[in-house]
Amino acid sequence: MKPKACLIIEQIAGNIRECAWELASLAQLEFFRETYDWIALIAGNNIERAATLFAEKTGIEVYALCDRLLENFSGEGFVRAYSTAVQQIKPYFIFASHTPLGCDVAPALAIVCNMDYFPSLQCLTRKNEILFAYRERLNGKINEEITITEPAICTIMPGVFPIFNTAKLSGKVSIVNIDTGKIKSIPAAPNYSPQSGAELSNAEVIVSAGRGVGNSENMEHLRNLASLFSRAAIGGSRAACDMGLVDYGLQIGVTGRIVSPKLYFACGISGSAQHIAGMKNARTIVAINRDESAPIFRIADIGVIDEVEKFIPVFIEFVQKK
Amino acid sequence: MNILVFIKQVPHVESSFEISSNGSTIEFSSQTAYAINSYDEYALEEALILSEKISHTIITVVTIGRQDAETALRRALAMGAHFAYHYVTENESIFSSAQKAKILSQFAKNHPFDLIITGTMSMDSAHAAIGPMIAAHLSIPWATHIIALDVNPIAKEIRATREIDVSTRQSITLPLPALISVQSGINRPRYPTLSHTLRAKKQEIYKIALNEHPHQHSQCRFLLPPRTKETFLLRGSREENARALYEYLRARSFL
Ligand SMILES: Cc1cc2nc3c(=O)[nH]c(=O)nc-3n(C[C@H](O)[C@H](O)[C@H](O)COP(=O)(O)OP(=O)(O)OC[C@H]3O[C@@H](n4cnc5c(N)ncnc54)[C@H](O)[C@@H]3O)c2cc1C
Ligand SMILES: Nc1ncnc2c1ncn2[C@@H]1O[C@H](COP(=O)(O)O)[C@@H](O)[C@H]1O
Repeated sequence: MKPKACLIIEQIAGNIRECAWELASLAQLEFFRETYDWIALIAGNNIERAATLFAEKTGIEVYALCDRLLENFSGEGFVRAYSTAVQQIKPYFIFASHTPLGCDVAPALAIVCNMDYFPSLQCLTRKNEILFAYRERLNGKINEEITITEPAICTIMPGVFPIFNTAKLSGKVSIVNIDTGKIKSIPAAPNYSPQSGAELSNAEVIVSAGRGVGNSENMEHLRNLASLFSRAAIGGSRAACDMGLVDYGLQIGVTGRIVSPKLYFACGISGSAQHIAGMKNARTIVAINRDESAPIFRIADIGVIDEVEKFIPVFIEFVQKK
Repeated sequence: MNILVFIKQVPHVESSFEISSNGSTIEFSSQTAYAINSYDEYALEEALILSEKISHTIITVVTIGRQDAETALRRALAMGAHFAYHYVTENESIFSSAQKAKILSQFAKNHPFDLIITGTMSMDSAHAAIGPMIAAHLSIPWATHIIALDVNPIAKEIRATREIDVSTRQSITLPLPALISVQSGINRPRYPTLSHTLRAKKQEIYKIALNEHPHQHSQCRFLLPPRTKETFLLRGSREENARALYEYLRARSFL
């Protein structure tokens, strides 16, 4: 029998989150597929349908960890459920997603199960029997290569690995009733309220603001730039939303909107993995940033090393004269 | 109410640096500006907001960092924190998240607290690990990525709202003592007033010697990230760059 490895599958109200299908593709990597038997852990209440769907589409064996107290997410309850399963399975590896729900449970699970913790991974390779992983430092300016030793819990940056949901054979599903016991947290049901910003999905050109835009007066330059194009819309990084430069509904990235316009202007955006995951499929990427080593220049087609608020007016004037 | 806020000092995103030839260390240039990790400023601001609502609230800030991380603690005092503790180390980055979580949870065991607030993550490493690890060590309930917080000091509980993505939120009620980590945008961190800044200069910062000398538990090497595209970088004058960008977009029928 092969050693075991686990995936932590996120669901909300019985719907599997996108990042879970990305984790499934890890189990397809040749060295992982050959070395381990994979078990996907889904915790919740009334999740049999989600568990079956995941097993059918990925071919991975699924343990549905069920309890009434797991109806809504709490770190406390879910760590209790996963650790119960981990004690039984004794996996060499556990992979979770580097998402708000994944990062709520995985670090605590590492302490409870006494496993090493390797967060925020973006790439995994094996050379000479050693497993190497890569993650970013300084919002993507530096790559850190680390060696991973088992037993360990790893979190995987969403939006980096492809989705896998095309297995030919279904995996087995086991329902495991968990006795969560007493938990102190009282979690409520998640609340879904779609934000403004639907125009971003149809826009052909997106002019996106980052922290480097500096203040709301400078947003005028971005709006003028957008008005040079038809079917253009304004978007922003998380930092731009936090600064009030654009509405949260216009946040582009893993926890915001995923867009793929024909042309994307990244203005004063550094290029963190969380932002890039939302716009890397834009056909042409223009980056304007005063820092030549900003990681956005590594994925841009054309880059202008300059101050946003100074360059854009000069550019607009040049276009208008033509 | 006693609130502990764990803060970290980090280099500015635009800092220039060099990776040593064997890839083992990152050397920042001497002009590097360091500041409180921005997520931790949100954490401290949230504590300050609570202290304005609930009388007799004491805020203690704690950092593990180099000698010069004292600047971050002084800034926190100037913003309004009451006490500051500094675990001094010459190299914060060789501590793993688990090692730091252990040190900070030990601190919490030795000091009274009702609530611990951390940032969601360190800007420089993006691990987002330490908060839940501390909660696990202390066996207290926790919630991360919090964008709204209400405290009921009489019932001794908090109601926190987490952001799962920009359209999905979840509220959770936790009895105190508890730990939360806050997501960016939860508030607008204040600027220290001049009188606070002057007072903070004179305040004592309690130094704690670190007995644990961490061993680097995993091999690591720093590299420059690969380029995924051949980027056409414009380094000319502003006018030349405007022309070059115009021609580039024109050739692709965007203009
Ligand atoms: C759970 C979670 C989810 C997240 N989800 C998202 C998400 O969906 N989308 C997202 O964008 N982020 C997300 N983030 C935040 C992300 O990690 C980064 O912090 C964020 O993307 C940084 O935004 P920025 O590039 O605008 O700011 P910074 O990283 O601060 O970069 C600012 C850039 O502007 C440049 N600059 C400064 N001044 C000027 C000037 N005058 N002219 C030109 N350039 C200038 C600087 O050189 C720098 O490169 C998330 C974080 C967490 C914890
Ligand atoms: N060296 C440190 N000293 C004190 N608190 C820290 C330190 N490093 C991280 N933290 C806290 O832990 C949070 C999460 O950091 P991290 O797990 O490193 O991404 C930060 O936002 C801080 O609140």
